[in-house]
Amino acid sequence: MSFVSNGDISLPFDTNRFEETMPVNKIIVEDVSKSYPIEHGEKNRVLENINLAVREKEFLCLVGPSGCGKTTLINILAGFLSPDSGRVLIDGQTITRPNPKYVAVFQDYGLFPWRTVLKNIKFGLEIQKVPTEKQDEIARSIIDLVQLTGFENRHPFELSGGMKQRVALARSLAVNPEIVFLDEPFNALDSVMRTKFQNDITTIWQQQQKTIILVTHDVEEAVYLSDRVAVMCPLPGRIKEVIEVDLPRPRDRRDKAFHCLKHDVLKAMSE
Amino acid sequence: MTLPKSNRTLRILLPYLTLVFVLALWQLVASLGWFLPALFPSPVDVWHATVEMWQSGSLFKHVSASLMRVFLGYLLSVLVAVPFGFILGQYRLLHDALTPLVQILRPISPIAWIPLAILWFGIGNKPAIFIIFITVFFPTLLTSAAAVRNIDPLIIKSAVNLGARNRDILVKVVLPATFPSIVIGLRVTLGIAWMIIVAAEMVGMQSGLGFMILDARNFLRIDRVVSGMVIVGLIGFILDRGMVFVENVIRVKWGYQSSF
Ligand SMILES: Nc1ncnc2c1ncn2[C@@H]1O[C@H](COP(=O)(O)OP(=O)(O)O)[C@@H](O)[C@H]1O
Ligand SMILES: [Mg+2]
Repeated sequence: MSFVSNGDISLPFDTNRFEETMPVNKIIVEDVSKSYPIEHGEKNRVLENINLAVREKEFLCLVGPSGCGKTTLINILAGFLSPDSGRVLIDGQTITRPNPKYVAVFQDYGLFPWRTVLKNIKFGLEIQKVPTEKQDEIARSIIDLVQLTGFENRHPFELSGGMKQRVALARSLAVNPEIVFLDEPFNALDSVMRTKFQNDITTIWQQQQKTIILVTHDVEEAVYLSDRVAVMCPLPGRIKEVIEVDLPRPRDRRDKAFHCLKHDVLKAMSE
Repeated sequence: MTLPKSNRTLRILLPYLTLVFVLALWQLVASLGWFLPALFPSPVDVWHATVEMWQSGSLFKHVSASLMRVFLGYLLSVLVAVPFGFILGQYRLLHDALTPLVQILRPISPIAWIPLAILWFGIGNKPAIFIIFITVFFPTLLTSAAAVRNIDPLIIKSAVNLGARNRDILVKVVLPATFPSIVIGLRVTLGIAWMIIVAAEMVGMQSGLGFMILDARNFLRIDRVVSGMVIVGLIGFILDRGMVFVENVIRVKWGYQSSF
C-alpha cells in the first residue's frame, strides 16, 4: 500500500476494500526461461516457459525431483539471476535485483560464522540503521517466534543443522519481508524435527502474514504445508501442474482427502 | 581441560625453568674455560655489556631505529597490500594478469633490494622502510587476495538480500570474513620483517640493532654481539605477543570467540 496523498481527488472506490476482497497476485512469473551453456555450444535448458502467479499471503510449495531447476527459479524470483527471456513481476514491478522485502533462505543457510545467533539476526536491522533498542526488541520477538531462546550467544558452528536453519529464517524475518523464499529448509533435519519445524513454519506464516514460497522434493510435506502445490519436472524444467490444496488447517496426515491430494501430486510428478 | 593443580603450576613454571636451566648451563660452560672469554662471553658478561650500552644511550638509539623502521614499513605495506589484495581477489582477470609478475618478484630476498633501495632513497631510514615494505607486501597481497576468494559466496548473497550495499559488505562482511586468515599472515610477516631489518642494517645501514651487532663485531666486542642478539630475540617475542593481543581485541570486537 502506498501513502501517496490523494489531494482533492476522491477515488471512485475504496482501495483497501478492493485489496481485501480480491485475491491479489503478489508474484507473476511470465514465460521465464533460463539455460546454462555447456560444451560444444549446447545449452542446458534449466527452465522453460515458466508461468506462475502467486497470491498475496499465499503459502506455495514448489515440488519436483532434484535437478529440475527449483533453486534456479528461486534465484530468479529473489533477483539473484536474470532470466534469459520472460520476466518476474512482484507487486507489479519487474524484479531486477535482490531486495530485503523479498528474502531467500538458501539450502546452506549462509550464516555469518563470526557473529552470534543474536548478531546474525540483527544484521539486516544494523544495515537499515534501526535504533539499538528497537533492534533488541525485534530480535527478541523473532527469537521467541523461531524458538531460539537460550541460544542467542552461540556461534553458528556450535549449532545443529536444524538450529542453523532457524537462525537463517529468523535473520530473514527480522527485516520484516513480505515474501520469504525457503529452499529445501528441512533437508538437514531428522523426521521428528522435520515435523515440528513444519508446524512451526505454518504457525509463523499464519502469525506473520507473509507470502511463502517453499521448495521441497517431499510430496507429503508440500501437501501438508501449502495452499497450492506447483509440480515441476525436469529436462527441461517446467511447471507441470498447479494443484490447489483446499484442506482446513491444522491438517491431518491420516485424512482421506490428504491422501487423495498427495496421490494427485505424485501422479502429476510421475506422468 | 582441567589438569590437577600441581600439574598446572608446573606447566606455568616450566618455560621459566627451561630458561634458567639454559642460562645456568651457558654460565657453567663459559666458566669452565674451554673457550676464550672474548669469543664465548658468559651471561654475566653479556649483562654487563648490555648495561654499559644502555647507560651510554646507544642501545636505546639502535633499538628505536630498528623498531621505527619496522613499524613504518610494516604499516605502510599492510595499508597498501590488503586493499590491493581485496581488489585482486575480486577481479579474476586482474589476478591472472598480475600473478606471474608477483610470483617472480616474491622469491627475491628483500636483502637483494638493498643496493637499489640505497640508490633510490639515499642513506638513512628510507631505504630500510622500503625493504620492510617489500618484505611484507607480497605475502600480505597474496593472503588477502586468497582470503577474499575463499569467502563463501552464500554469505555475500545473504548480506545483499538483507539490504547490504557495497560499503556494508566491505565493513560488515569482507573484513570480518577475511580477518582470521589475513591475521595469521600478518603475524608471520611481522616476525619476518623483524628478522629482515636486522639483516638489512648489517648490510647497508648506519644505525639499528643489526648495525650495532656488526659494529660490535668489528671491535671484537663479542659480549655486545651476543647482547644484541638476545635483544633482537626478546623484542621479536614481544612483537609477536603484541600481535596476538591486537588480533584478539579485533576478534572479540567482530564477535568471533576470543582465541585466549
Ligand atoms: N551456475 C550454474 N551453472 C551451470 N549449470 C547450473 C548452475 N546452477 C544450476 N545448474 C544446473 O541447472 C539444473 C537445475 O539446478 P537446480 O536449480 O539447482 O535444481 P534443483 O534445485 O531443482 O535441484 C541442474 O542440472 C544444474 O546442474
Ligand atoms: Mg536445489
